[in-house]
Amino acid sequence: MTSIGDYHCNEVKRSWCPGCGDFGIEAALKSALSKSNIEPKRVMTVGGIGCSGLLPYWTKTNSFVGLHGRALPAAIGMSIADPDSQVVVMAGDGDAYGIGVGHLVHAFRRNQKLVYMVANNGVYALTKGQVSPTAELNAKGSSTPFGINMPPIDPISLALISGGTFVARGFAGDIPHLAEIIERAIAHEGFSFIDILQPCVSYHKNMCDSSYAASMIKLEASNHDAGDLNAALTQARGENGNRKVGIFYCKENNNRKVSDAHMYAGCRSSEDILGLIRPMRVTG
Amino acid sequence: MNRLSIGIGGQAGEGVETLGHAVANLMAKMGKEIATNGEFYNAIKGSHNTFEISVSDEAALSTSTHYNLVIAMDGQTLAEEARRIVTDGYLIYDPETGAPDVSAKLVAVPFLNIAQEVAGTKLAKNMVLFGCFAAMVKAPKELLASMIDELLKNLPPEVKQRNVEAAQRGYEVASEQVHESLMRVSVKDPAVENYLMSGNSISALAAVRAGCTFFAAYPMTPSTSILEFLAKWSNKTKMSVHHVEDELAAINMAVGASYAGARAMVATSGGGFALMTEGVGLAAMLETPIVVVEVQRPGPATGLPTRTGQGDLRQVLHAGQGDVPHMVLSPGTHEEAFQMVREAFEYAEAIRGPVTVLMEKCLAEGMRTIDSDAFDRALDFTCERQTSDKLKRAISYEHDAEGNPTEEPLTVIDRQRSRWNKIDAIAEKLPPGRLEGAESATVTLVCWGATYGAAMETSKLLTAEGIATNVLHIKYFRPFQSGVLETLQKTVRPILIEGNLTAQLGGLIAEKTGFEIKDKILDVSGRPFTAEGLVERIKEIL
Ligand SMILES: Cc1ncc(C[n+]2csc(CCOP(=O)(O)OP(=O)(O)O)c2C)c(N)n1
Ligand code: SF4
Ligand SMILES: [Mg+2]
Repeated sequence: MTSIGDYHCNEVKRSWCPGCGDFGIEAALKSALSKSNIEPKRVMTVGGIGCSGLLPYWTKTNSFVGLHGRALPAAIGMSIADPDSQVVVMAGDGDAYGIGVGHLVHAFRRNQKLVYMVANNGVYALTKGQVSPTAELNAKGSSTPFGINMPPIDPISLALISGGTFVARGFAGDIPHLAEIIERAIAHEGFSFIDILQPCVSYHKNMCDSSYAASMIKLEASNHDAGDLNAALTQARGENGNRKVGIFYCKENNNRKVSDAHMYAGCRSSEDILGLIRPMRVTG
Repeated sequence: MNRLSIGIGGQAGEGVETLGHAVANLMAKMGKEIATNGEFYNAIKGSHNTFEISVSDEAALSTSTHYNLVIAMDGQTLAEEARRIVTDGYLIYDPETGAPDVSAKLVAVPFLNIAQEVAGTKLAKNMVLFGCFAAMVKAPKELLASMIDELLKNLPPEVKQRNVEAAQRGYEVASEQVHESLMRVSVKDPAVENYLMSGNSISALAAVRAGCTFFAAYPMTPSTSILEFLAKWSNKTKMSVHHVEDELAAINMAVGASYAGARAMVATSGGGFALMTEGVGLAAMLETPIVVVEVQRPGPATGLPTRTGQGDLRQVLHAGQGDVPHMVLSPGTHEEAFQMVREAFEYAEAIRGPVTVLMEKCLAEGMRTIDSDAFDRALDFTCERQTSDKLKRAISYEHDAEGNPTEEPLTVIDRQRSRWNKIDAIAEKLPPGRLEGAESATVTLVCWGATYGAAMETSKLLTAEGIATNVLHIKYFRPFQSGVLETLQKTVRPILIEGNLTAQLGGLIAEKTGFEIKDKILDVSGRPFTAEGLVERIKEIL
């Protein structure tokens, strides 16, 4: 079995604020990877652009940091091209639910095998504290000094109605529970989506006090049936739906299509290609 | 006559293109070289469309503004294309659609009635007209029948039979009125293997040949058929082909796939490329090879989706924030498109970054006859991928050689330089710019992209008239190919020809060489250049 240390990259200095929830996500991910016994060289860690997206810096795996909002399509491309590797994405809520939300809906439909973790802190942290699409109605930020006049989006419902086959929420403050979810997500044969409540000590202090941690409601406690889509929707949309953590929905045997066309096959001969254009051939 | 220019006009949805393809195919089968151009309104139904075909004994490089034969499927053709028939040219029309007021030789064919009577539907009129055309080039009747059989292969046998009969009736009606053949023809030697292909199908084929394993695109005219060809072939090629949610996804998926070991390509038009630009910079920063095909149509914004133009050179050259090391090239012919798309994969590998191949609608959708050996003639590279067992780090923030983030001024400068060095290194491997056509000339036509075809034909026409003319076709924009200044200094009267309003190539030449070309022919009509049109405008300038 691999150990958590195998995934540590110590060469790059950490730049997250002390106490940032992203540390919890990092710890949970590395624990899940080691429990799943995936060699570091078979892991591709992908980041968005944001505080959260820095995770690949300190991960001793293959690592990729692309563009703001585009971590998901890049990760899908990787997973298609190298299905033997485990692709894990850490995006921010700005990445995932703001600028890149268009990709998310289609990722549920595509169901490509990879783990998509969204560090949901309700703010654009790296750009210093504007509201994110999950900020509560009337929340104030530097770009909305009088409060945001739009309600938040609900990522779990969005995932469920878009055809997500693995839909979960974790809390960065509960590392063992989150690690368990990530481990299940890694095992899932398809697109695994985890919304992760991530306290930001600098720009979203409400998420950082003990009452916030205490408000988490574990789905396991209510005997939730993760095979039941309607039950999952009811959990997500009911009272305190945005504080529920655990696996809302998981559909195994989801007939994921595995493409057999991925690795470099070498140049084709001219005979090969002439076969393709036979219908365009001019003959007497 | 060794060159025949045909115009077919009709309403969208009437089968203008089907008839055009059938005519082009027939002439190719009779050993001729073909160039086609479709002028379609951006509408599925209810507008007047034109399909032009140049048939020649020698390589056909462009289509014409004037026709030796016009086939009028609707009344509007009588008022439009029919007016551009040359002296002694022919017009096939149905008296039911109107009385032509042109001096052409008239071939009156009641094709609507024939179609209804023989095939039971007016829709078969294009088959009747195909029969008329076959008669006018004295094509064997069996060839006509076998082509229709192939063309309608998905229809029930009795329907096919009725269509063949309708075509044969058209053949007889035209034979009674026209006794000479429009062009000397023979049936092609079956040993000579050639193909009738569009620039898009050629580009798709080149990608397969180059070993492309991953392709993603969002449909956008006029690039869409690259996606369609690659998708259709994917069960044989095993290429991973994806119609994705938008162009942002397309390029980012391709960069991801390339990072993970695939050979990746995307294709789009100007609007889609605009969305991709951040991704082009990403590929450059991450040093992941990727090929982009950009097929131009006129802009700005949605512009003219189904027309041609050369307005995107600057957009592509300047794609992305910061100094993006990005290679940009553009082919002049179909053969060159095959060669350059294939080369693009090798260049991408060599610079470990993005390479964009610019094309235009007229080349991408226009068909040409291509010899099968064009697919061998293309440069043979080794096609070895660099692989390593090391963990791969690809970080879009500035990073050191190990892929770790850095903001150290000296390292940053070094990294910026090292990315550009790869572009500079490629420059030495590119063929220098050179003159084609008459050796010593009074006029030199300077152009890029598919304008090459019309420019070459123009140079022949002018030279034949005693105005010795040659052509300088620029193919590599970044890095800018060598030899351009030296070549221009040798010219007497260079004239720039471009399908844009702002002389985008002219500006680039001035920037790179200090040489300003004063005489310019700039056209933004959305239609391809033709030799006749250019000859006229050049004479005005001289
Ligand atoms: C195309 C583009 N637009 C804007 C930015 C600036 N930007 C960088 S990070 C960020 C928001 C980050 O918020 P989030 O995704 O929630 O990540 P967090 O920092 O909260 O983890 C923005 C707007 C960018 N990098 N690229
Ligand atoms: S600003 Fe917030 S999200 Fe960013 S590192 Fe600090 S605590 Fe974490
Ligand atoms: Mg955030």
